[in-house]
Amino acid sequence: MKQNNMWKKSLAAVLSVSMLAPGMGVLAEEAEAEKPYEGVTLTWATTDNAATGAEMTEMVELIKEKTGINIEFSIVPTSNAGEIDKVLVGLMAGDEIDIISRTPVQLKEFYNAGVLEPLDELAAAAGYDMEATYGDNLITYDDGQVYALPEYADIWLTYYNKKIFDDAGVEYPSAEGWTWEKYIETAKLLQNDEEGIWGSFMLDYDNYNYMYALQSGAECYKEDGTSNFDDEIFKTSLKFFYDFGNELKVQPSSVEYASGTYPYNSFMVNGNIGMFICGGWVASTLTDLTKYPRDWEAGILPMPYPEGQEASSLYISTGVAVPKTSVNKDAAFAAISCIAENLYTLGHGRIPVRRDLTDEEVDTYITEQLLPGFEHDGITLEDIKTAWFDNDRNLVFEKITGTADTTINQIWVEEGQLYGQGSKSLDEAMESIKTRSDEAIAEALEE
Amino acid sequence: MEMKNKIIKGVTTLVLLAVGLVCIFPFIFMVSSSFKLSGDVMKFPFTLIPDPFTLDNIKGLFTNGIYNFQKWYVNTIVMTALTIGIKIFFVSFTAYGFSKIKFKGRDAIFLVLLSAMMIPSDIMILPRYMIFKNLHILDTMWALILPSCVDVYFVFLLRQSFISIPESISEAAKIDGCSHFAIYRKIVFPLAKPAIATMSLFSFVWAWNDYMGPYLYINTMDKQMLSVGVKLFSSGLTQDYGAQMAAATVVLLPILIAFLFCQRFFIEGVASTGVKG
Repeated sequence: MKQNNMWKKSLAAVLSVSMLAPGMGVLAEEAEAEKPYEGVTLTWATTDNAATGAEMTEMVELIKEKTGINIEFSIVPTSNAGEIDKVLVGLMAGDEIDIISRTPVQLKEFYNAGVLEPLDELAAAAGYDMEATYGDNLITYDDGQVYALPEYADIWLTYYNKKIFDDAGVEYPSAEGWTWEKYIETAKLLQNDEEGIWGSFMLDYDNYNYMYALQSGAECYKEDGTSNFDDEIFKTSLKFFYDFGNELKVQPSSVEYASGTYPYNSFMVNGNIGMFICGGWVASTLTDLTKYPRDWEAGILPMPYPEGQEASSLYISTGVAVPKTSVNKDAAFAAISCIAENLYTLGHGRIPVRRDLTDEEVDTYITEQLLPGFEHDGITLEDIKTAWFDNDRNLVFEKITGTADTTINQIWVEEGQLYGQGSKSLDEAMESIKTRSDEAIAEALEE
Repeated sequence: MEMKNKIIKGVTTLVLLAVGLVCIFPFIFMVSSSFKLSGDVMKFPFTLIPDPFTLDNIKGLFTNGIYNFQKWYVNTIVMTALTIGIKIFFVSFTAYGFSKIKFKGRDAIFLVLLSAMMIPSDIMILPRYMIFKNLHILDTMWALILPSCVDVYFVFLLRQSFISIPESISEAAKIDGCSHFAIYRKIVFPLAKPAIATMSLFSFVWAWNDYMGPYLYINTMDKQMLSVGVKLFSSGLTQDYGAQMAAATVVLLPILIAFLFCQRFFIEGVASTGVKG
């Protein structure tokens, strides 16, 4: 009897297995189809700092999980502005690199050197709709093709010291109608020379010189390709920025900035600055209370915008691209689309540049990943949504981009400082900016 | 008159002292900041004496768990020593050939060699990178050592020094049966010691401080040199000024020591060859 039962069970098992086998085959095929690059190894050129960081480690695991691709790193030291980019040299010499990550301005140099692979065909082959996922944030250059997918954005903010507001008896500002005019008014109320309190604080980066013009919708180049810096709005912009220190005296003057007395972290370290306008990256220093211990709370607001204009903020994004020397471009595209889509989900405070996220997804992201870092400051979900996720706000790229842009940005810094320090009049500085920029453009076009 | 001279001397001393202070301030700032908390480094007004005083920045260089500072130190010492040793060998031989051996086309070849000094270094980056790649010496210290083995600048310098050694001495040695190598080893090299010491000192400083070479041709962090390594303390948006200053101070120490011990040779060499750093 027992033996009979055993035979029956064995037969049932054999039949079951033979019935399931084709199904299992299908499942295996599906899994293979989902990970068509299983076992492929790609090289990602990055800095040692980044490669050993938790974010990169998690991203490598995620790429493996989603695409089956293994990532190995080609380590390069970080290059500063104006320095030769080692990865670019390597790519020009034919180094086989599959993934690089840079800002659009830095990637432009790679594009100019002809070492970037256009992504349009790779996306079409993969059936990937870049437009639907990233909208206008795709990184394109002169020939109109897409050369990089945006990884994350850095959107400028107004940071403020709540204690200084309290001491001055001034109400905390609100995002609604937060214009430059309102900002100046508030900075004047906070300014306290006796106590050494600055109402406002900015840095001496190139884009502060022309941010007001960019936010006013000014074009940096004319249709004939020359610079548009003879447009009155650029003059207004230059004067606007230097007036804070020289005329209104609500922030350190250009001379004081030039002396190096006020580095970027003065807001966090000194505790004597009412409001600070800078990129979103400053927020990561606010959450680091070990390195920057403070007994005051900070608040955040969107960046101010010119009165009469639509609300806008400066921003910069970082893009991931595939070099021409990549030996497996399809796999490299699969990897960079995985990076661009998912980097923000890893919990390192990145602001996604995706246009296809729902409100619910955004709320979950902020609550779970961003808010815990700002607990000390009492910053709310709404504060962050208004500052970083307001789809009605125009995002204006923070730099001048176009022909000879690196040189032009440097010209703005040099001439701006000459004006700010009183060595040139406003008209002289603007005339120099225009002339020198046009010369730089002509020279670049000749090359 | 004596009073007037004393006043002029006093004023001159004061002015020079003030200029000296301005020159030495960055150094004092660096050393002082090495012993400050990172957050205190950029605090205004500047304080000379660190309060609180901390050795954490220095300790952190060697125990940070991220960067292998010791390894970079050893790499840099080995690379610098090899560079100087190989350079002395090749450069002095080349200079001897161009100064003491007469052969057809000598001056023309020397001119061609000199013209290499006129090529801007930036232009050499890509070709060098490709050559090193094909020689399979990228990511090794040989990519830093080999290009400086025959440094035309020092060939020129030593040639001038060798020329100043009277020909009659070499000829007398020749009559006594000395070969060129013997003349080089027993007469020319010892007499040109100040110039060779100057070359060694300059080579030491240049190799020690070279940033672009290691930056471009070395990838693996454990093979990296101090000049690039120090910069890692300043990369990223949140800078650790204390660690940067401590790293700069520790890196500068060997150069300081080298100058202190070789000062005599250095001054003699500069005086006799007219080299300017």
